[in-house]
Amino acid sequence: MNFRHFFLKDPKRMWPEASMLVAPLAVIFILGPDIYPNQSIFMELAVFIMLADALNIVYGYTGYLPFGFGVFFAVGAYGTAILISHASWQVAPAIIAGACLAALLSLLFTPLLRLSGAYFAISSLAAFEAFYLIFSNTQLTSLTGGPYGISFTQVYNANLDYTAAVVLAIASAIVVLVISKSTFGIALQAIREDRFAVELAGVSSLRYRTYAWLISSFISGIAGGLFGWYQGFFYPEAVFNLTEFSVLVIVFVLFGGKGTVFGPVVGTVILFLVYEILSLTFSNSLLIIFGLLLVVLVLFIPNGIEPLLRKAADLLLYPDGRD
Amino acid sequence: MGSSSTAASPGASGAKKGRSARNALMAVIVVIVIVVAGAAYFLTRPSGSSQQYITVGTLYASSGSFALSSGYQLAGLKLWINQTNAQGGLMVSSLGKKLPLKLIALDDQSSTTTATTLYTNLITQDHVDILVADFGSTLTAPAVAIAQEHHVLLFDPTASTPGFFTATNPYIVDLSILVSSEWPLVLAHYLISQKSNISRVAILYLNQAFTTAQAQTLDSTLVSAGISPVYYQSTSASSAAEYSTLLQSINATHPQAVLNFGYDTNDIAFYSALSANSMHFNFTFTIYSGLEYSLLHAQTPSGSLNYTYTYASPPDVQYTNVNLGPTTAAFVSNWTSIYGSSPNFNNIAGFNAGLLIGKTIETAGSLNQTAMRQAVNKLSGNTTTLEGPFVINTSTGAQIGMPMDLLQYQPSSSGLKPVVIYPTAVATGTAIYPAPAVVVSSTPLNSPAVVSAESYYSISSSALPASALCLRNDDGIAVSGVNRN
Amino acid sequence: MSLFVDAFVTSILYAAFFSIAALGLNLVFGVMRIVNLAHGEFLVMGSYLAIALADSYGFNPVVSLAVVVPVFLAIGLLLYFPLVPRLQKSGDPEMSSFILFFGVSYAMEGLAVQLFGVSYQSLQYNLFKPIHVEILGYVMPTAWVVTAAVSVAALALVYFYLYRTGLGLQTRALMINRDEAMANGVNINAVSAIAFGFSIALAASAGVFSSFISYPTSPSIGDTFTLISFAIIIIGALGNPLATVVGAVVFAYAYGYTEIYAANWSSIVPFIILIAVILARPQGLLGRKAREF
Repeated sequence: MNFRHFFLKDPKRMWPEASMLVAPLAVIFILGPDIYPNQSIFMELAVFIMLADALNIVYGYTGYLPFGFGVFFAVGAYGTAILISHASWQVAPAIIAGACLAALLSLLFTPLLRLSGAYFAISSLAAFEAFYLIFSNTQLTSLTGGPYGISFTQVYNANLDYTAAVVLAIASAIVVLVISKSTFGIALQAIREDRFAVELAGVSSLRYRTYAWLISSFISGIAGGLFGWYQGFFYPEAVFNLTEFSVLVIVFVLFGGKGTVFGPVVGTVILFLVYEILSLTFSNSLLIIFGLLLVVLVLFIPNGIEPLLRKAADLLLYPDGRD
Repeated sequence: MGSSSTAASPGASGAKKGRSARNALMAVIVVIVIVVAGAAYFLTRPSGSSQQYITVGTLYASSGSFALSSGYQLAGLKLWINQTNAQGGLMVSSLGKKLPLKLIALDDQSSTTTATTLYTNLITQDHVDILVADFGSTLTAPAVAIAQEHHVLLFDPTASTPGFFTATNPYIVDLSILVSSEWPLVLAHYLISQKSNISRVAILYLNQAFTTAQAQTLDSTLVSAGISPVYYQSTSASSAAEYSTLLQSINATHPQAVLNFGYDTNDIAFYSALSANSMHFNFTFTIYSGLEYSLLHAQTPSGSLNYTYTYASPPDVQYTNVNLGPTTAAFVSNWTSIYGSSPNFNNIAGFNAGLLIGKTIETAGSLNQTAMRQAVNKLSGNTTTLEGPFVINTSTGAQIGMPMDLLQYQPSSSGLKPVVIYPTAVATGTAIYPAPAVVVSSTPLNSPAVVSAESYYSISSSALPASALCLRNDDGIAVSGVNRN
Repeated sequence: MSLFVDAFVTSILYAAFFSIAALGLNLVFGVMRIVNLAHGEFLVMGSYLAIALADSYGFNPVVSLAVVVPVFLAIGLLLYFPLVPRLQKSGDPEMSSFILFFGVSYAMEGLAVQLFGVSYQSLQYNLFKPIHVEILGYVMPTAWVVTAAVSVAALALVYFYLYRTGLGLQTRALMINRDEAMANGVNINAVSAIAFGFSIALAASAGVFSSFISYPTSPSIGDTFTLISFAIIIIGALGNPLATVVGAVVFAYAYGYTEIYAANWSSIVPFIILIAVILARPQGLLGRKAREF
């Protein structure tokens, strides 16, 4: 692996954006549970931010939409749970190992990276279903708990878990920022725009995609491990949840603006909170309201809100108008 | 608004670019702050002031795969709350007064993730006095760790997974359902007692905790008695065509008894596939033909449930010598007069949970969670409700009373009659075995045989599809009835 | 009758049902390059309409088709114009369509809960007389045979439309090369709107029969139909409506035979086949080139 790809072009220029990214997130995660003392909402927010950033790396920067993306999340959760409950590992190494397992799994899928658009999306979906059926199979009960789910409540520690999730959610946002500023990220974007030109320049686009894929699945695996830890016990359906840990994440990223540093984070914060508010207030019409909201978003704000926010900020701060 | 300055002087474009990016990000922060503030504003409800009510917090699913059963359970709990409030509420001796009950029911849409935040919300926002779990193990699972973490006692009506109940966690108690691994014990003993008649047993089970636990218990109990099932497979199928193939494969093992452990949708597919193949077995067993009789009766081919076996549970089993709440029969007639259709097991489980919660509060004399847990232990072993004897493992909180006996639906002039056949002590009749063939056998049908099959259907069908919709509306809870309080 | 043959017959009927269930999804992808994640929900809505017609008027499902098809054709046409042309203008319609139609499917599931409740509903075999028929010594419900017959008829109609009509020719031109078709004067909006309407009507027609042969109808079952339809059209070939049949056959037989010989693992097999097919022949069993490099 050539680590030169990951060197920043200009590390100094990163600081303002990094602080813009960290400060509001820190405010939300530190003050949030005080303003509204329901830690698990903010815990899930942190998990979703991690997932959104992970998805953004592969979808936003390479243009590949893995529809069954949630498989890495689930494998991370299971890896962590199995190592803790069967091998009595410490939590931190177990989560890291779980994430490595997810990354390893992503290597298994690299042949899929040769496919184009919709084929890739759907085949990752099939992989998701296949792994769900493997992990929940009764014949693997001794390892995965099968349909009985898996329990590791002996290490349950909600506050520590929350702290870790917040730190890692912010870290994953920084990872995206670093990627966007690195030669690696720029190469990825170039591949997304015109793969042939990049190949002609002697760069293996497949290898670059594989790196992005690895980083993305590793972060998802971490998110899964943290989520599983927070549950203490989970059934296969709880982590192999296509709607929540794949589709909703895609929606968050698209809503925020894919391929941007701030979009996925902002998109997740806003839409996740809207979703939670709806499910607490208008739960009977949640499906209808949220569904229609998405339709309107795609039709009228197809590139996400990040460009709009930039424009709004410009208008607000330079009302005399600039181009 | 007039532009006050000409800040956009052409010279400073480089610096401006950096500044504009920074300012854009400032705006992002502003938006986030607004959203958070808005969220806090919307989400923070005025919390209940000093103990005017006993708040009962629970979750239900208005949509998704658990919506139906969850709605049944909530309807039962609601009826108990209404009846209790009609009598002025519950006596809390430490406060020296009767307090009315206030139900906070939040909608988890059958999602465990949403359930996690909502359970936390009930505890940390609504500060509920009584935390009641949603239907079934899947939607109860997220509550177990949260309740323990916050030292709140989780009243669990219908989650029966043995793994939830450990001696190290005193904050959960199973009120209305036998732990699932114990369900098939009576059934297994019956099959063993009939060893000379029924030696070839086929077991098909859904790949879910509730059903797998039962299948495994049954399998191991039978094997230890020298009956080795001729077919023992798990499946995740729920379509009629898939069940059809599975049944063909089961049929090839020539079983005398076919036991299908599934959820309602699987049982519907099972009976549809039996009818589709014109298959007939001497003994068929499903779980939901008893638990959700009206649904199964309306949604399966006519005559499907004739002679089928299922768990005998209320309302089919009627307890008369109860010492808490109404007898089963009194409850059924009360429910029927209110809702126009008879209750099913999950309605009763929800109501029964309420009854036991009420008795727990009165016994504890306070709303202290630990005191309530001790009060539950006091009730165990000397309380009988409409659902049967309430007996828990006092250290783990698992339910070991409320037995699941065995019944058979036997056709009579007034429709299908639930007949408890085992254990003998509570039996109300004897099994009809082998089950008489309902549909003309699977040997090639010619026209007259088909006609006779039809004439059978027209005679025996008390609930043809035409009446199915109204049945469902009366008996399934209309969605509007599951609104939050 | 051997087990093998039994499973063969059941599977062929199941394949016929899933051909018509998945056909519309493929038509939309082929013509518009968009992915309709709400496909299963339209199927469920068709099913509810058929059940309501049977319950209220005692309509036989085949008769119900006369109501269901025009109603859903109209719904499809009405939905096309506000949704699809606007979607096509976005930067990446293929991917944006995922989220758009995910929203539509969410809203439709919510609507179904409000309108029909959460209980399971199904049509009964005795809507057809006689209830069972015997074909080649194999007894099966008339309802299943009718389901398969309707599927074959629908396939024939789609084939006729695509290969024997002027609009069908334009549709195929659009499927093969969008830009060239446009340059040659194909009326994209008219052709696409009709294909979209057909697709919705096909899904709803499958829904009319779904509770006979597949799952009891409930608001949350739509996702399952969408997922299976996806698997089928990928195995066959994306964008080639008639290859859907091949996908459905492979899918149904994979299910049927693993259910006999390894029931524990049966549901996983179609997905493994899907991945195997996609790696060996990413264009699907009957498709054109799809691998990028």
